[in-house]
Amino acid sequence: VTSDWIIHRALLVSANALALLAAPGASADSEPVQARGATVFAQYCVLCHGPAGKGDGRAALMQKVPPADLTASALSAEHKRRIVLLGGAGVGRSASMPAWAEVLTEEQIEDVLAYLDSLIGSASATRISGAGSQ
Amino acid sequence: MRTLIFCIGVAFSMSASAADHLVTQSSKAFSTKVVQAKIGDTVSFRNDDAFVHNIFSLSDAQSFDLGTFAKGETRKVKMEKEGQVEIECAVHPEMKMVVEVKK
Repeated sequence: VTSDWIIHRALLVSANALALLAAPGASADSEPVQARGATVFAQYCVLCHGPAGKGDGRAALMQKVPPADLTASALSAEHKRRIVLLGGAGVGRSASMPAWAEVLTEEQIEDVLAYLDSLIGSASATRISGAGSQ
Repeated sequence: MRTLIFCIGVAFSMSASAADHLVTQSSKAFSTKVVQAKIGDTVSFRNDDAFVHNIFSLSDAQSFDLGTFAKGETRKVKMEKEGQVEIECAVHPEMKMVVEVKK
């Protein structure tokens, strides 16, 4: 075993590790992001959007425009990002949705957007399994 | 004529007895944790922070949403019923205070 071989193997392992981390949907990376997003959601969003994101939070009844059901949202990721950053008024929707750009950090916003994506996935899975049982 | 004078007198005495309680929002905190008010009093919330705040209450005694407002703006609510009115900020969940409303 030469020193060149050791260096070559070390480089291969490093490259594989980097490729794994960079892969889309890599669980090692995405799960903590969604978990952090869930924490942000529970602190700032649950009041109106409810614990499951269905728009049934305890403050929902006060709103003239019902909060969005985030499990059934068909909006693009970019549109959601704009709503979170600019608030409802910033994108021509209900002004009840605050602009979070000056409240949350960039990381928190990315985390909560990742969590919102997971809500869509879980809702689809629920609907699919529900349809199958009927 | 007497009726008109009586009504004006009653209205004047009511407005004179009602107080306005100013609460400021600064550094993500209310200026006080408790306000003691009477029915008919108003509570004004002034945003002294550089970012937006919100005021709402889901209390049984009185629920309302004064919306989200920017620095320097003030929102006011008239206390309608006796009881404990818990005030919250939807943007900063850690901000909470109580208005104790009595007759």
